[in-house]
Amino acid sequence: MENQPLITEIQRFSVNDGPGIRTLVFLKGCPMRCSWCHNPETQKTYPEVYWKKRLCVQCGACLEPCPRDAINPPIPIKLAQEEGSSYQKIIRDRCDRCMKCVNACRYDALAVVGKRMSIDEILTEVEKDRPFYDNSGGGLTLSGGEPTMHAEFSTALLAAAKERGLHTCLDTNGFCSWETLEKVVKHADIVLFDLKHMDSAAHEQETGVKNDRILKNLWRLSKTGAEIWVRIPVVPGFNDTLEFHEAAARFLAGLPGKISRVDLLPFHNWCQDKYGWLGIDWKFKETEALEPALLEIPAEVYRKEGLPTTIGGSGFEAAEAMGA
Amino acid sequence: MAQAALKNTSIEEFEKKQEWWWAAEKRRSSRLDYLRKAIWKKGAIGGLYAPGVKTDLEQAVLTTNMARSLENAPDPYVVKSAKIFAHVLDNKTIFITDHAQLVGYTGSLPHTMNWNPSIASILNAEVFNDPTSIPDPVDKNQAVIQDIVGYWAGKSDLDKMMPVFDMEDMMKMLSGSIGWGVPLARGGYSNKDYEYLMTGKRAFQEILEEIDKKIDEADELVHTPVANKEIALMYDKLNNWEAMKICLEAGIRIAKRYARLARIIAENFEEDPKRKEELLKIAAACERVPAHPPRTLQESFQYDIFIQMMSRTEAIEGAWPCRPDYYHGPYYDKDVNIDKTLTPEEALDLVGEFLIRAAEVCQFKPKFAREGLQGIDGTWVWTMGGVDANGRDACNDLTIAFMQAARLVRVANPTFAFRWHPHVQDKVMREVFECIRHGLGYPSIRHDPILIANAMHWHGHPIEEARLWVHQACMSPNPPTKHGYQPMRMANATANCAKIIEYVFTSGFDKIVNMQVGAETPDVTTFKDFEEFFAAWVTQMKTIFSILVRSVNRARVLAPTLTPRPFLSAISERSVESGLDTLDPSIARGNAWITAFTWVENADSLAAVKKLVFEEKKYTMAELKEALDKNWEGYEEMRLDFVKNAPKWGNDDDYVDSIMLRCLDECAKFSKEIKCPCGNNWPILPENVSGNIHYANIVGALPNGRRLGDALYDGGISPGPGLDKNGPTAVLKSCGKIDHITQGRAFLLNQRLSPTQLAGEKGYQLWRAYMRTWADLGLDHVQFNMVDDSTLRAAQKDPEKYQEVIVRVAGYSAHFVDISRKTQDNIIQRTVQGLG
Repeated sequence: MENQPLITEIQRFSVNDGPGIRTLVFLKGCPMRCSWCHNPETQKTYPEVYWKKRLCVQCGACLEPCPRDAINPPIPIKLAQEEGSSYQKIIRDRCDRCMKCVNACRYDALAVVGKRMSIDEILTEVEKDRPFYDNSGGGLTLSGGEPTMHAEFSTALLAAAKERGLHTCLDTNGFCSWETLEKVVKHADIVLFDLKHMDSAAHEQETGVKNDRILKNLWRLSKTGAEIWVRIPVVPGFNDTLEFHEAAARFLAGLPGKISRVDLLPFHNWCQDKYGWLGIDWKFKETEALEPALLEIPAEVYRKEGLPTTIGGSGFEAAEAMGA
Repeated sequence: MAQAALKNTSIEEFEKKQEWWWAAEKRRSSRLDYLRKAIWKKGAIGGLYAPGVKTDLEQAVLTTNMARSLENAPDPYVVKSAKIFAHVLDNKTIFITDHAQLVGYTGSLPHTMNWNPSIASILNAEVFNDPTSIPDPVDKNQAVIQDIVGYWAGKSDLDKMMPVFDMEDMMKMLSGSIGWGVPLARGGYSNKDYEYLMTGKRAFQEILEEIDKKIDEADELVHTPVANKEIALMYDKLNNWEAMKICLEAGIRIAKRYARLARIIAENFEEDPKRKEELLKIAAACERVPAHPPRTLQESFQYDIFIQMMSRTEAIEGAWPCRPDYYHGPYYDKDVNIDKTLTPEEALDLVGEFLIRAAEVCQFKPKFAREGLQGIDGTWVWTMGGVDANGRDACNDLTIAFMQAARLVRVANPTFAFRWHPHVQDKVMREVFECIRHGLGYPSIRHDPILIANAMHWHGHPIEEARLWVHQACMSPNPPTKHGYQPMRMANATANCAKIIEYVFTSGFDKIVNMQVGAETPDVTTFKDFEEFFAAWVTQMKTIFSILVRSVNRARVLAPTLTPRPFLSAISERSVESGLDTLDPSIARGNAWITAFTWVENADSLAAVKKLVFEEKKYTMAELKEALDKNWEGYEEMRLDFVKNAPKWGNDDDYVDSIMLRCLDECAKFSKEIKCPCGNNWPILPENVSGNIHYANIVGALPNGRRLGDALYDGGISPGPGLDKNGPTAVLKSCGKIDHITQGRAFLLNQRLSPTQLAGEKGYQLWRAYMRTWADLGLDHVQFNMVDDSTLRAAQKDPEKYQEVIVRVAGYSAHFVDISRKTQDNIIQRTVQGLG
């Protein structure tokens, strides 16, 4: 298939991304650049190199095969690993990702992220957990990155999954043309639709794009009667205000179709290792994870508008617990 | 925790913080709180007993004195044994704990560990050499112990058995490299004939009448004008019956002593009228049981405790097989639901106390056993739930009460194993889940339909008996029925299976103990393909298993005459009926199994050799042999290749999973070739208890990348720590490829759960979905560890604050602070599966 995207990971036993026990397929490549992004390795469409400093023994085996002099020479392990060390193994602006260093590494400290897999290979992996889907109402969730960026592939993958009798969820940021979205959602039983900010300027500042297209897509999608779970990452200093929640709740309640539920996803910083592995300085690295209990008040804002709401998006949340 | 902080924090706050132990302390009744704190912690920490816990010399002295006085008596050995047993019961110190409603303890005082010196002289030597547990005054008592040790040298059960074993097998076994323990009829795990004993039809007095009838009939037969083999053998039976009677009568007498003590306290010393009434109730119970069947829940529990106390006087019991909800349930129903003589709260106090009475029991154990049983005295896995003989749901109100009481008293031993079947009601599953969620580490869940079929497949138990099964030790089902119950599971049929693959590389020579133990298979470098290599593995497996099995078989055949069990026989229908000792193989169906310690290393090692040596030819066999000989020293890069670039069990990867199945197939086939003296099979049962730590310095370097000294995998069919990269569903999928009916007797699986997201209703629903799939995949066992890393790390740093944290270690739960640093690290290292 042309323009076949890379897969960063197929994650079995996911329980917060649609109903039941699910397998998540992460596609690589996203048109947005959310500053808090929890999966930085899924932003670029091309393969990247992780350098995992805790695994690196500073043996220097990666130095010699590098044709572009993009590897920093070894320093004592302790210095490289100590808190606040700025040492990086790869000089990213010289690296052309030829991956020769990865092949030389014996300690799994250097690794490629992003690999090509056929639809059949992907679904073979996904089908391994079929007994768990049967008992939990789970299935496949296609995520990213952004699946609509690879519309043809995503549509084909979801269609093939349906043919095999799998329940499907599409996890999208909604930033694409309506025609694209309409095509990809056709084979999704549930659309997990991200909503990040109601104010377009604020949205653009932290995600790189305006929100008008996203809101419009959500409006049109709801009109089709598709089952939609709206997912709102709650990020400190960005959208953790009652003002935002009230505006979002009003907007969602006023859509032409019913929103099945709203999942408030508290910001966390468990992904900071991944930023380090990619050599990216993350602006949120010092930010504490948001205590889920703090979202009880915002959750009530949505429930008051008649929107069933969860904190954390568990695929096992009982209807009564979601309120509304 | 400071008393003030404990006082000022509410139960709800503690529960929210998942500090279940403090919540339990606040929630339980004042009686349970007192009783829980009034027992001594007996489990050994890193092989050492806690300060203050002392070896009890009373039984040892009584046993030795009586043995001396009987030396020249004309009694047959079995009668002498019974007389010694009776002498101990008649003279042992008895006590009643304040606030207690149940009485009976194995030792003479609450801080003591029972010691029976007549069983194994090597154990006696350990008593003598363990200065921390010798009671004060040490000098005087050392002399007493020396006298006892000297007397039994050459006379203990083990000393009597040694000369009649095959010496070569015995030396290999005692080397400690391939086995565990020694084959003794009075040192292991005794199941009981609960269908005979606990169904309300009879107790000791009624059995005595049955025996009298038997004796009368025999007496008549041997005096009729005829002579034959039956009569010739009848005199042995008469001796056995006489011995059984001595034991039962002594059992009734000691209960009466407890009754008298309770009355004396009530009538002369107790001022509180309520406590006085309780003491009189204890007296009434002890007058009733074990002479006659119990009438109330209290009497039923009391009966059970007496039987266990007596069994532990006769033998060293490493387990406590029972099914308390099933056998005591009818009394709970009568007292609480029908007669309403007990409120549910009062009943809960009794249930909690029953757990506490069991938790305090202790017998002095040799060091190898203490190391293998980190933090506890034995593996007392109590069977709960399940079906009755007709296949109907046997869960009852007492099942639920036990789950609730366990969360209140939070003891690490006994633990529960819950027999799941499709008809278990949701309310019961919720109670089971609450125990797991509260971090008890138990119940483990057992798959009833699978295990019933398994019991029929391997041992031919009829379905009605198979359905009654209880855990004989940690994992192994055994029906507590007339011909089904196994009187002794001798612990030494426990194979250190990592040696199978190790010996393939050394042609059976064990470098740790410096002797030829395994088979002399050809030099490993001569194998041309994986098939030849695997054939050597099969040979080593058969060699190790048969050495262990032969010794158990031999012991079992000799036991009825050399080391009889008159008390256990007296409570067994088949012995009362036949006059034969209950260990006699001719009256038992047979329920043997080989416990397979350190099993999974074989599959991972075979897969690594197949892939890297035979298929990819990345290394020659000579290189691998050299690397293993050097314990991987100087071969670190190569070692990492074997760790990382060879498939590992537990990832739903058919490459290695199919090797696991092939190994099990070979074992299953061999299991039907080796037979026990009852004529039945010897299936294998992969589990580890804490053997993975005990054997760390005994198993050499392995092709899975393990070095000598590294802890082995934590057991059963659990993947290697940190090697299960694909999450809990992949682990279940791998384990589900095994046929849990025909490929072995049972398979232990540990799953570590992240507690944070198992909270609330959604946590329960997630767990249920997971468990339904577990059931669909046909796994026979799973157990959960619910404590998170941060708690465990904090507990390592500050053990004082975390005294009550329980973790599941292999076959049982233990208090985390009680286990060695190495075991602790091993648990933390396990992949947190994040079920949620």
